Amino acid sequence: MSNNIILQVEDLHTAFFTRKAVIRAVDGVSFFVREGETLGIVGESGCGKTVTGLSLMRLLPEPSGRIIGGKIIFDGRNLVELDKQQMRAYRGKMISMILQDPMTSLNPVYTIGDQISESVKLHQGLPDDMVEKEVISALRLLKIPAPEQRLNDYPFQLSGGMRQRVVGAIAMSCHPRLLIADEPTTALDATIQAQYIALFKDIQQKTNVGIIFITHDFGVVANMCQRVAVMYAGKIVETAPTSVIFKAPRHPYTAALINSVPRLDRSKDDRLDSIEGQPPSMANLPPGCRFAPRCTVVQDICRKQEPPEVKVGDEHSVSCWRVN
Amino acid sequence: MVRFIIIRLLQTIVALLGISLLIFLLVRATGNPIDLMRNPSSSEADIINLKAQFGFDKPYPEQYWLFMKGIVHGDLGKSILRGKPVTDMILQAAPNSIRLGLTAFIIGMVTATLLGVLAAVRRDSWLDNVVKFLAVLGQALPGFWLAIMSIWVFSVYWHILPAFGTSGPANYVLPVGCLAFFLLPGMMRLVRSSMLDVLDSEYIKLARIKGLPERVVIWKHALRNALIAPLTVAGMLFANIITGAVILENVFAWPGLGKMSVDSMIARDFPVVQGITLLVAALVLMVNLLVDITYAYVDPQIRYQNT
Repeated sequence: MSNNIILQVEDLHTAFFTRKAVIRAVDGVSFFVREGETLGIVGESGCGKTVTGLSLMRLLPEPSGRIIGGKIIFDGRNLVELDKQQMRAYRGKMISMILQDPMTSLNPVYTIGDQISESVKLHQGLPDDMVEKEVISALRLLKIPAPEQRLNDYPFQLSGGMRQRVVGAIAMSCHPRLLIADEPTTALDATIQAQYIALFKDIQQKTNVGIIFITHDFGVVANMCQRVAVMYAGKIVETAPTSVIFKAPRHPYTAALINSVPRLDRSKDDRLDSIEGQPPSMANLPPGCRFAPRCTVVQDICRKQEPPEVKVGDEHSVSCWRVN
Repeated sequence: MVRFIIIRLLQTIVALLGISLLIFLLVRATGNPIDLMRNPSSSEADIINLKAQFGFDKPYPEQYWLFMKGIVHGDLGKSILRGKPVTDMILQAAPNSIRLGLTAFIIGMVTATLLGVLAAVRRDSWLDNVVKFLAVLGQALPGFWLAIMSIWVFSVYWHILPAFGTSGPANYVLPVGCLAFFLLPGMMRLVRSSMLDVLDSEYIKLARIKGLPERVVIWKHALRNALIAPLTVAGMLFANIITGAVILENVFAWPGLGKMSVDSMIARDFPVVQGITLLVAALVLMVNLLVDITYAYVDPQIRYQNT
């Protein structure tokens, strides 16, 4: 891991414009990713994790979704300002993405060889025999057994775990510098999950790719990420190095999330903690701190004013009135 | 795949046997052609004579046996009305029908696919609204009304297109146009909705993530998946084109099988009706077989199940 920052997101705002309301799915999010580093973005369903990922790819569902503010600085350029053509040159080449469900993310009517070589041909402009070599090396990178024979297989001939490796091979085939993994292990069995994570740690060592790992599972974060950003209702409420966040979470939401992860060192008679209530509707946010309605240590001010972001340690900042 | 085709061919033969029996009985249920031929002065002996001449005096099983035996030898019998061999009559009329039907089928399917895809891609645009309107209109308008109106507008009022005849390319415009329009709405709607489903899928998202241009995303990744369901319907629509042709050939006085079959049904010309129906049935079955083969080509999962 170097100190070389490849992605800097500043005050990103993404909204969906529907007939009834404007939904601010991502509301002023800032973070950065270094080369060879994994940043975890954690939060409940609907908190804006996936929309953040899609915003970085500039692949929001059209025409309703739009980036309405902020900067996405990648490799010295602001991606928000690029036109469609320019953005396409980044996608799949410099920035890649892995989707959640391997059963649906591969095209059922094309062979996996075809689906991987498509990217290679498009972005690297290689002659045909070189393309096949690149495809096989991508399959090898993902530790897919007998890659030469897999080229002519169709997705339905592979297991879920293997398919997710193929999706990984597509993502890594053009040697991207940033990989956005949107819950890539959620749809996999627990044993396959662990394998997949180990595989990506290994790939990161070999390629020095920066990874944004979107997940709702703090267990996965502990395993995979150097730093974590905790998202709640479209905002990042706490960001810290992984080692710090498990020992000393400062935001009540982070603490509650960590407490809701099953652990081996707890008595089996202990009930697993859960967070009362539901996340607020993004179309109708409460005033003040968005977590206030569910917070167990809520104060008066929390319901009136949004807490500012406060730096509490090395690369550790929190937005909570309790911290001030 | 070869095994699959052989099995399907055998099924086709069984189906044709069933159809031949059905049509043999159905035409005979319409009445007796001799009743239409006799004149008031003909005697009982004349009628018995006529019946014997066409073989209607024999019991049904024997008539059916002779009919089947003829088919095997490529002989469909003689027309009661015209006295000519049915095979010759069909061979004469079929090319006209095939030219009309095939052109309309191809134009209809290609246009439907293009419009369906574009409507789905530009959902809720003016184009999509036009397509949706056309679909409703096309399914609501009866084919014969459309044909008559188009003759009135283009031939009678504007004098730019001929209303009947087969002499030149201009003669094809109205019948082909009407027949193609007859097929268009159903297929177009199906392609549109199927395409919308596919465009919403994760693998289309992944294709965009790869940085592929929209052109490739739509026409390579989306279309092939979106065509799987409409393909089955295309096979069934082929049967529609025959019913459509029966109507349109009569409106446009087109000397094809459709017109011939109606004329012979009115005259209770059994051999001709039997011959045409059997031929059309065979054609529809063959096209459906062809559709199934194409299906296997488009969807690898089916290809692998059948081998």
